[in-house]
Amino acid sequence: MTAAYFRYASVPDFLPSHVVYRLFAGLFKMSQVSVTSQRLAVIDLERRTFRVEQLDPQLTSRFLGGRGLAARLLMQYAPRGCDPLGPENPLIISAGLLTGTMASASARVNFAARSPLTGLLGSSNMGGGFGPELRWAGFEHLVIRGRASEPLWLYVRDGKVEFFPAARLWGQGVYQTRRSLYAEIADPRAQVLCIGPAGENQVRFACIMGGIKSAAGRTGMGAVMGSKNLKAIVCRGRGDLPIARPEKALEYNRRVIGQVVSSKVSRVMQRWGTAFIFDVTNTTGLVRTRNFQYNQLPRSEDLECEAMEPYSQSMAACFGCQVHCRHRYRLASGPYRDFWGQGPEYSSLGAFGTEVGCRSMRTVLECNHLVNDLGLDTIETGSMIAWAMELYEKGILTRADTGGLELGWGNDRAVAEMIRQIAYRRHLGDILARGPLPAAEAIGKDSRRYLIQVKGMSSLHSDERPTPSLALNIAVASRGADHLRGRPAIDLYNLPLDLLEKVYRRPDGYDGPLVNDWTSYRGKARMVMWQEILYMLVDSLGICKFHTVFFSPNHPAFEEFSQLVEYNTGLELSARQLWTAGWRCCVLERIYNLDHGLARDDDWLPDRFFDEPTPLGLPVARGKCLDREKFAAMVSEYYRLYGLDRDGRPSPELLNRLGLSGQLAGHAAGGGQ
Amino acid sequence: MSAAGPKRLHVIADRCTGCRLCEAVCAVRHLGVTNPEKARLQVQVSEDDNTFTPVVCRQCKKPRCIEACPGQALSRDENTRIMHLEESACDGCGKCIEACPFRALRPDPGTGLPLACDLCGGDPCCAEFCDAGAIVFAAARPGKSR
Repeated sequence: MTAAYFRYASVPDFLPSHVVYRLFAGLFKMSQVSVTSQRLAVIDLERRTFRVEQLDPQLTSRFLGGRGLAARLLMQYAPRGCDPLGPENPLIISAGLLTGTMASASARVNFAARSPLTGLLGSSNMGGGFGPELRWAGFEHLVIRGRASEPLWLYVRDGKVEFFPAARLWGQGVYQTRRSLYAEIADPRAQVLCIGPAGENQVRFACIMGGIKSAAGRTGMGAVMGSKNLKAIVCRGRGDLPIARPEKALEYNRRVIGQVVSSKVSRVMQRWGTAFIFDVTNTTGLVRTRNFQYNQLPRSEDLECEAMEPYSQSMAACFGCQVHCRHRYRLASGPYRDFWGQGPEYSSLGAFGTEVGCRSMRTVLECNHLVNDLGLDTIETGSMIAWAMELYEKGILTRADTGGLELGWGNDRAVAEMIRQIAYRRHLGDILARGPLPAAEAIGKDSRRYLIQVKGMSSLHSDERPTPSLALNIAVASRGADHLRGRPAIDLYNLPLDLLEKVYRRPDGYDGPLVNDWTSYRGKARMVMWQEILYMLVDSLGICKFHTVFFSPNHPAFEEFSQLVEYNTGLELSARQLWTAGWRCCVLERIYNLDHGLARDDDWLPDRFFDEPTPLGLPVARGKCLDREKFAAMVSEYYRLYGLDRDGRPSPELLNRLGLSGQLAGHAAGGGQ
Repeated sequence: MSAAGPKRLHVIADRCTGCRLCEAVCAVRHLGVTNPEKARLQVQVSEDDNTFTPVVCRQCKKPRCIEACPGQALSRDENTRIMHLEESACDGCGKCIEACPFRALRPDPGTGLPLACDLCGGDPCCAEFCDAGAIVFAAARPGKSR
């Protein structure tokens, strides 16, 4: 404790810092902490206290860090079945095992809680600069418990957590909150996490913003933060993060960077961001349009990535990333003309473009600003509005429900207005703010049948009817319909079979079928499982998916990460062991969901995927819908590959093999102490 | 040595994406840790104000830091412009830090001694790792376009 105190002792302001540092040099000699020894702060918002714990190093080799270890901590700290918006639901913030180490784009930080959107696993991942800063501040994990009696913000710096009143920040948007906080702390190198009005108002899909663009978007983590009366977390660290084998790590990191930036897709993203995907998917007919009525939006040239040219000044990156996929842009007029924006992501082109039938990049950018400022998840917001528009078209909703708003397709102004209605919970916005299933229950009639959701969470604007592998991905993902949990995007390339085999047979020597035709159902369960485990691994290491096999088969995977882990942390885990660790964490997330009522029926898609063929697109994507029987067989195959029974529950042998026995239906009644 | 003089670090701020990998690798190369406070350069990043500016030692022709050092602890090789800090001769008075007109020189928060850029001995890793080309190690400043 004494050592820890002096390590982070603050210095008097009136002396030049270098003089003080020199005087106290002896006291500042830092004990070398191991990268694998993870530090956790348990923060009690009611008592305004915190305590620091050192995690059992065994947890690191078993669950790595970030998303995987967060699922384990959620088991420990969240009482089973707790109210997602009650004080007993913890908000768990976890840096990845490699976050801040300079390994390939090691920027990421994970947020976990019981989701107020789905009632299942809440889990969201963010880039930017917060994760590394958290580690330099002396922590890998924050577990935030309880509810503050009045709005607070937290200052996490150099091994300490301080509590400050946030009443004057309450009600402010994200941009203004950031300005206010930076003015107050006068330290431009601090990192700020905050919620906007949507989080304060507990919109079930509110996000946590970690910059002007970085967001923990999905599963409503912002609502959890809002329910705790917690407006913001500011983080600043000056501590060391030791690298186990510095020379080797530098050399190997350089090699991995070369591997990533040499792929064509990285070069394209460096120039255009994820918006580059739109041209391809829209032309093919893989884009959800007018909610789910079409799979392509014709005459949408203004949504293609080149349309960003007049707005974009240059590109910005997360910590340590060479792909820098974010446009820096500013709008010359309108309410946000004084604020820089970043993005938009591919997801926003759907959310505020095709799904709602809008054809204007300007609208997309304005709405991008709006959701970032109000603190809303882009994907869920766009999906909810698109659904409401279809209900409006069908007469299930009328102007009496919308507060007089004309919710017609392609009404740009109505989309922006509806975003505000959701964030401030006005009129129809108050119903949409509850998320897909509760909103359908409130509206009644036939409304549920038009929802495009899985497990209570809406899907990206991709249309998976022509692509069985992508459809399986969203049906089984651990947090509801989600492309970032297991999307085998390279399946769409029709790669040569030998290349496909090189990717998907490693590292465990899978010898089942693999097919390089993306309209096929065969061998796709393996692809989805493989991607799920890989994505779990990178989410747990804190590495961005653009630096692994997502858009390119030649990007780093298990073998490379094994080396990165060893050189940066000293932890020797083979590719095979990392595979098992990822598998373990995936099964653990499933256990959490099973504990909260998940059943086989929940690993399934809405009827529209099976009953309504796609009307547009290239021949390969036109007239397609999924086959129930074949799809069910694919789900069963997926279960079998994982070692789950026919209801999707882990067998005792699997639990034993992964060292998870005793986790099912028995976790942490009463939570951690 | 070519007519253009010794190689030195050039910053083309327009190209900087604010990833701060240079800060990370600098501290790893010199100290085996990542810690931006101990890097021999700094990137000033503000998303809100859209500033992305690397601040690096420019290997000035007339190095004010070396001139300001009362104990001759700071010196450099005039051919390579590699700076050297003789730690035993440095008492951490901070005069060099105050003298740097670009605020590129900062104290090590652990020891209080100046974090003098030694160009990694002639192959600076900040430039090596800067894929965007915002920090370039060359005799002459490269043109702006890529």
